[in-house]
Amino acid sequence: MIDFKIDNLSYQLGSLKISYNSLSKKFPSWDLKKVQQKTGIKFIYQSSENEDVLILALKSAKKTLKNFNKKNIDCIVVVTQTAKNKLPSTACLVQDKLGLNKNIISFDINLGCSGFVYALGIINSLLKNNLCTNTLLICSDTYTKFIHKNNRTCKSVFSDGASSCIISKNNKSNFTPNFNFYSDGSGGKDLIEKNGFIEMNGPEVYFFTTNTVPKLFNNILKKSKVKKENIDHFIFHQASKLVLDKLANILKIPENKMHTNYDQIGNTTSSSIPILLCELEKMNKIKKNQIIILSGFGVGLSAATCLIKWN
Amino acid sequence: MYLSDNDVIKCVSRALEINIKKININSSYKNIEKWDSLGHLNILTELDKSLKGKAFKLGALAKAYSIKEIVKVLKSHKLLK
Repeated sequence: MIDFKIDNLSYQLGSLKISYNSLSKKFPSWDLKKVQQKTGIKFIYQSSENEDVLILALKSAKKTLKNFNKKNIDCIVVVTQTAKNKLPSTACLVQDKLGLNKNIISFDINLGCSGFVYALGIINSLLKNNLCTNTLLICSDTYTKFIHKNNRTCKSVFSDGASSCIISKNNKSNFTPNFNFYSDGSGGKDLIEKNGFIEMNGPEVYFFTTNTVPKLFNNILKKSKVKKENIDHFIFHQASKLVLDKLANILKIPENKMHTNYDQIGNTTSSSIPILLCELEKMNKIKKNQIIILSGFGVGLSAATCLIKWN
Repeated sequence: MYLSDNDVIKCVSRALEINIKKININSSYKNIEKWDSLGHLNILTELDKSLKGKAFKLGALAKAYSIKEIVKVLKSHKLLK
């Protein structure tokens, strides 16, 4: 059996912290009080003009590598959809900027909110096949640079940020992580970049999420032969209050096991799960050997769920 | 629980916080500025409350961007008076 461990979690948010109150003053006709009741979000973070996906990724990765010998990194995976340049891959640029080995695997994954869980699945497979031992996994996105100033839906939800961690083989564990993936490109138009701007059909994405995530959730419990009562933590993509409340309601998740931080940070797309994990670890809320379910969902439309043991 | 055409109009009025006199059966996202993606989610939430949790089970409502379309979806699911 091969298991992996997630270490040295770090993150970097966009440097511009914006409160809903200040947004309300800027856009008085948006009725943001009502919007906030739905999203639950109090603050969003935007990248400054000088910050891009690579810069945020490097800032976060440097924190991750503070306590890890960078010579031992033999794989870099960057999850991003908003890199400044379509080519080359951000992962290759990270290799150079951080002075990492050149005998290294490096590639990007073009996914949004499901990206962190997808990346874990891919890295797990690379580890199983002995293609690498220590992966620097970075998620970094600057959605706000692609949001039209009049788009109330996107502007009040998305934040910019990057997260990073080291994924390594854990030979001591007898646990097998389980994954479940789902894609439905027919909903691609429901969260799309068109003519330089992101457009989201909130209701369609909402219906996709509230229908798909419970199915993936139940499948993974069956596949893993784990009972819902034995899951210690439920870490879902931090889409918004509306979505997470509904999922908690459908899946009957106890309040103390359903973690959120969307109110303080907003929706950081692929970074939302690792940022939440990082915060929970700092607060000592997740402990060794606890069973955690991670679930990401959104643009694609795409979803991924995995069951892991915290090591 | 069933709704009438007028109940649907009331839901939209409450969801978008628009005077009911300014909404009628021909209202849609095209003639109401607040009826954007978030506005539509608010409408669905109001309908869900009135229908005791049945609206969020009807995927077709996600694409119903006018009062007429909402009424049509509810009718097809026998939720209209």
